[in-house]
Amino acid sequence: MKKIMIIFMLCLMTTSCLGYNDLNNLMIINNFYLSKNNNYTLILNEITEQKEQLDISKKYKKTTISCKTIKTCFNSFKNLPRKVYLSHLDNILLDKNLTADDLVKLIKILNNYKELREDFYIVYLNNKNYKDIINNKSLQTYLKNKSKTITFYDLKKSYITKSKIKIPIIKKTINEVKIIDYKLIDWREYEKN
Amino acid sequence: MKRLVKDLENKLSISKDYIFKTLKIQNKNIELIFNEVLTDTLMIDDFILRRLINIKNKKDLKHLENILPNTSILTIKKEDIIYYINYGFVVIICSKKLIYAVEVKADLARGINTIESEISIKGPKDSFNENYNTNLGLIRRRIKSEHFKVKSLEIGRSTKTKIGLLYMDNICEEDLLKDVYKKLKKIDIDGIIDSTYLKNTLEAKSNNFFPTIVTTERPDRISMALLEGKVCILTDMSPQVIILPNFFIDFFHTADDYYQKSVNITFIRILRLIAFFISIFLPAYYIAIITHNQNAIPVNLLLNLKVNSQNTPFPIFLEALMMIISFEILKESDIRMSSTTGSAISILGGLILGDALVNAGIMSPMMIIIIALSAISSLVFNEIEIVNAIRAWRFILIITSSLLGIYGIYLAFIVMLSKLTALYSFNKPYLYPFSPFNLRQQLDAFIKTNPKKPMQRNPLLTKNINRGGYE
Repeated sequence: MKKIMIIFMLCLMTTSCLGYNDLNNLMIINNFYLSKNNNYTLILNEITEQKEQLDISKKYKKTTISCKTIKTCFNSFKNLPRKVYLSHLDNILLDKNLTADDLVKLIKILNNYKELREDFYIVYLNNKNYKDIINNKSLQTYLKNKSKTITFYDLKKSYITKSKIKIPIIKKTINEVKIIDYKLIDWREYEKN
Repeated sequence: MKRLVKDLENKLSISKDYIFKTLKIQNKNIELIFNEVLTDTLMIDDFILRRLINIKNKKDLKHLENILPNTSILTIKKEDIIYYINYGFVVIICSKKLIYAVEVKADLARGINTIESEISIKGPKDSFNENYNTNLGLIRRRIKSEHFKVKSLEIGRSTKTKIGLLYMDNICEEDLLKDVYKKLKKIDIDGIIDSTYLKNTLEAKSNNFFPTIVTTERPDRISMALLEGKVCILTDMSPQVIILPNFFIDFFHTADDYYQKSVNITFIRILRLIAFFISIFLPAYYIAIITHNQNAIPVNLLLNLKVNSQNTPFPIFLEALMMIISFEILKESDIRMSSTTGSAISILGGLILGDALVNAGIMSPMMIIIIALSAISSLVFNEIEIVNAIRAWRFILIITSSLLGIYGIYLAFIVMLSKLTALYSFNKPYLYPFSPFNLRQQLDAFIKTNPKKPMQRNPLLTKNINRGGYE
């Protein structure tokens, strides 16, 4: 029994698995939008549920963070009242102004999140009107059914292998979301510059 | 003779239930000593006193066995007098050297009742009672073979409890029998009140929660175990008969399994296995998801859990602990109370308390569902020892999962599995037929195949494995 206790205590202290996150203290984010003007703006779309007697309905709540660099935006998560939880991320919406350099920073930052899944989609927005798209339920199904979509895994892989990648640009029409074009990113060119 | 009677009077006369009666027969004094509680006084009047008074010849006193119409009339030594009196005999002292003991036991046992603790839908309904002979009779009526043997011994300095070691001499392994007998012989205690007193000696010596011994009230289950090559221990004054050795898989089997269709039994056994896992793992898994591994489940379910666990003032671990403890209190009070008040406790505890706790915002409804499901699942097993073992491991898993999440569950599960594999019941591996693996024995482990195929005994228990078949 002593041996078991020793092994257990060692695991406790050495495996750094003591990551306590209470579910009620989490901000479950399904989409986020990153844009760039003079500063960077990060808009987190939190997904919550509201219980009214027997009905449970989904609700969305937006949190806006403005910072000088992408890194400080993500670092400012610490100042939020609850922990930002990106494990159930569906999409990342990017502003058209974001360059390859910004993407590299984003990849490096997101790579540090241990709970992150890599199957969420990355798309560019045609205009700055993120509000129409960020809560759009059909976006996820539309991207799933399309063959030429880019997930975070694809983006990371292309960066590591230094290959070309085409990230879709989407537009919201009256009824639906549509891919209108692709933005080419050549990592070799980026390395040369 | 007078001195002997006086000695006995000094020892026994403080208790007024010991009766000393002097008779004068053919000018010779004879002394009758018995305990009026343990004996049947009508029988004494009819079959002893009436016969003794009618004795015409002094010489007949030397051959009382020819005079008294009783099958158990013994000539005993003076040292054994008190023992026989306490056993329900009438002791007749004719002279210092001529002492008789005549059995006139009163019937103090209850009758053969319907089984209450291990209920089955089909199959026999009789159960053991506190009478050694009745219990033995119930087994003998089922096994009429000459190979069915009973080895008796007495344990307990004060209680002198009669213990019977039951086995089939053509099936049971001799080493096992010797081992059990040796362990029983070693017991030196003042009293054996119930068969469970023997458990401490017979259980495997390890700090394991899982029981290696099973007790039953069902004579049919004992007969099955004997035919399987196991040893059973019958204890006087106890309706519980011990079966050993025991394997982990035995807790998933009931006597009912052999009275119903095999295919359906396979389904029920798998259901019991699922219940076993639910009972141990469900609260721990829930805690792990809420506190550590939120990424393990889809977002919709996660949000549902979040809504149902909001606004509770306690940390989830404490909440689970409080719920388990209150369930255990409820269970304990329900067992101890009579059936009339028992139902009131169930209503109060189960319906009113549960609903009020949720409405008051002290407990989350999800936690009540989880703990209730886990507790109900553990009650699938009718052996209380395995229910206790499940409860203990549930606690351990809750602690590890609240510290380390799903990783903690795996860690505790590995410890549990290694403890189970290291456990031996009378030198037989506890996890047999899974570890060591035996393909043939899988046919009556979690699945049950058609009994038309030739049936085999457990090769670990006996060399005589062929049981025959239906065709």
